[in-house]
Amino acid sequence: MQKEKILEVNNLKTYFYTREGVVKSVNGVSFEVNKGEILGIVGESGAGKSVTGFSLLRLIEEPGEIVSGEVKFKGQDLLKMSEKEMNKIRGNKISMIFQDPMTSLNPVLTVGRQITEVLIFHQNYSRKDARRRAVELLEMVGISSPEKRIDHYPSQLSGGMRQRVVIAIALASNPEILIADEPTTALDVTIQAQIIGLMKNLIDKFNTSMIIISHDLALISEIADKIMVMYAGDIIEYGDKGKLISEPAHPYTQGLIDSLPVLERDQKRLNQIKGLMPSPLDLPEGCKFKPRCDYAGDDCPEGTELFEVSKAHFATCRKAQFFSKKLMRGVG
Amino acid sequence: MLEYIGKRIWQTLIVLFLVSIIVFVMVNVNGDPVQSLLPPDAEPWAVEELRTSLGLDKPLYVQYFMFVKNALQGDMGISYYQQTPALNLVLDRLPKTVELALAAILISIIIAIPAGAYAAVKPESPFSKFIMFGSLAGISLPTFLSGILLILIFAVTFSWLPSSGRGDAAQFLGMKSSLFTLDGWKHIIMPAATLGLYMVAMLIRLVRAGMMEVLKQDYISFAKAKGMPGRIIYIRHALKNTMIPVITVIGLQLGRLIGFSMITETIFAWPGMGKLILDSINRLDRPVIMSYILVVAVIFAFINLTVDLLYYFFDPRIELN
Repeated sequence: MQKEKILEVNNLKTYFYTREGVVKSVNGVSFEVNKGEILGIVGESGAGKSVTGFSLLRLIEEPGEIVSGEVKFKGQDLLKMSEKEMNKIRGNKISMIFQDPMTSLNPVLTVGRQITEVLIFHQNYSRKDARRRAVELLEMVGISSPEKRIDHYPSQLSGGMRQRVVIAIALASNPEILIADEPTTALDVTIQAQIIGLMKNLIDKFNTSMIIISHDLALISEIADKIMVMYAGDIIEYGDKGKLISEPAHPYTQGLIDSLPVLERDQKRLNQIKGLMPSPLDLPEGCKFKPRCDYAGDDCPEGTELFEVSKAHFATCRKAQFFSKKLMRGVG
Repeated sequence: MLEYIGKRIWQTLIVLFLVSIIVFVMVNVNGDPVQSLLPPDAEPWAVEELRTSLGLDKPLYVQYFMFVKNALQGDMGISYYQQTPALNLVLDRLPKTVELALAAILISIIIAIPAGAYAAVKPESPFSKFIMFGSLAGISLPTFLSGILLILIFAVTFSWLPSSGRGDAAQFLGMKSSLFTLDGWKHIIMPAATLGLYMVAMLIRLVRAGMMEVLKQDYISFAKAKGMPGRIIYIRHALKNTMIPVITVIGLQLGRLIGFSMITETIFAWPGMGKLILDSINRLDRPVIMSYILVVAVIFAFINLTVDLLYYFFDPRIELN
């Protein structure tokens, strides 16, 4: 069955022009999101995953700039829209949830005000209706006594509750796509599970698509349908969750998977990927992972193009597949 | 809330007590009023008589206790020079100075907040650069120079505005002020602009710096991600957060404007407290000087209390205890 393609990103490049030089944070990424689908973007800090998320809504601030590419939402290129048209998309058709709920709500405005302004601006609600709807939204995200909470200021709420409020704001206009940038990183582990469960429930209920950005592969593999692994501004592997987790092609992806703790294995220490991501100002030619790669050699692929490893599974390198079996035995 | 106010009033009383001691001692070591009230060749018995009638022959601590006892009853003594109660002299002039200071603050707020916010939102535009250059000039220009320049331009060259004095006053809501008449505004606008110039310049810089800091916050990015248009982001989301330090400064400046309006009042012959205190210092008229300083101290204390309460209104995070 052909699913409805809702977002198509082609060759997106976002660079930051710093005093030290040009940082190619997102260096030509392409991907698609279908209706109701969850895409997970994984990578370590500085891989360009958050910048990708911000670029989709054109929220890149100076000295950053979207250099080229296309972000097609239902066939319309967002990068060609005026700011005014773009504001009709932001928070309305495509919403975003930020990493830290402690700082993403305005401290001097009530929770209600921050929800209702979205409804009033995007959906032409009257003040009274917006307030009624805001109470419903707070209830929907699981906040108790919403009639009372609506008049509270963010400082009166806990971190988990604030993130629920942020989710309520993001879903207020019933968007088509929700971009969640590390939505649980700043929260306690117990709250994390609740928030992820809540988001998953709500987007299933409204058939919303989601792009979830995280450094936490375990979390992503729990919730996402498709996974995209980023490294130093490139997509290095991209595919359906099952294939990508069970048969990782790229050595980096495999490293990420191997670094997760496994209950059945008797491990003294977690496996780690040696070294650090290279400085974004001084990237190696060709494969950027090469200096850290266990399998690097003269037979490495020349370019950084994605190629099809198997159906609906792409990677820039497939060396891990030849070695993975051996490695697993070595550890086990 | 009540406890908080009570605590603040208590602190204020302690401050006023300390101020009264300092004022009393300072005024008493500074010159001899008898010499300025009598001709240099006055008879010794005449000097003694005046000294006794003014209470200056008693020991200093006795004079201080008499001063405090009388002051608590609202009696700050009789002006040596004008022979009327000193406090009344000051209180008569007070509304005129307050009026001038309020007009100055009003002008500064109207100019500085939009200008500072604009300079923060569009830091690269030529108009912002003009604003920042103007504010630098405003901070650097001394009051006596800017006042005289204004007179030269608007009173002498173009004859648009009167160069001195206070305009007609009118009664409104039980208050009599020249702010309620057009003539009053014509008279007050130049002295108020002169008095407020420094404040405009400083507020512009403060608002700009504060707003630039606020605009970097996550909640501003989040508001953008919500699709809010610029006017809502800048006014509703950013400006309110910027106002907290600005209110403190406006409050403290209001006290400063009331307390240090002498130069402006002298240039524009404004019949306020500032001119009175300058004249009284020249005449060593101690009761008037002390009344003035205490009145200003009370005003400062009261303004600070008001500012603290205003915080609560602007910043819901502040706990009152």
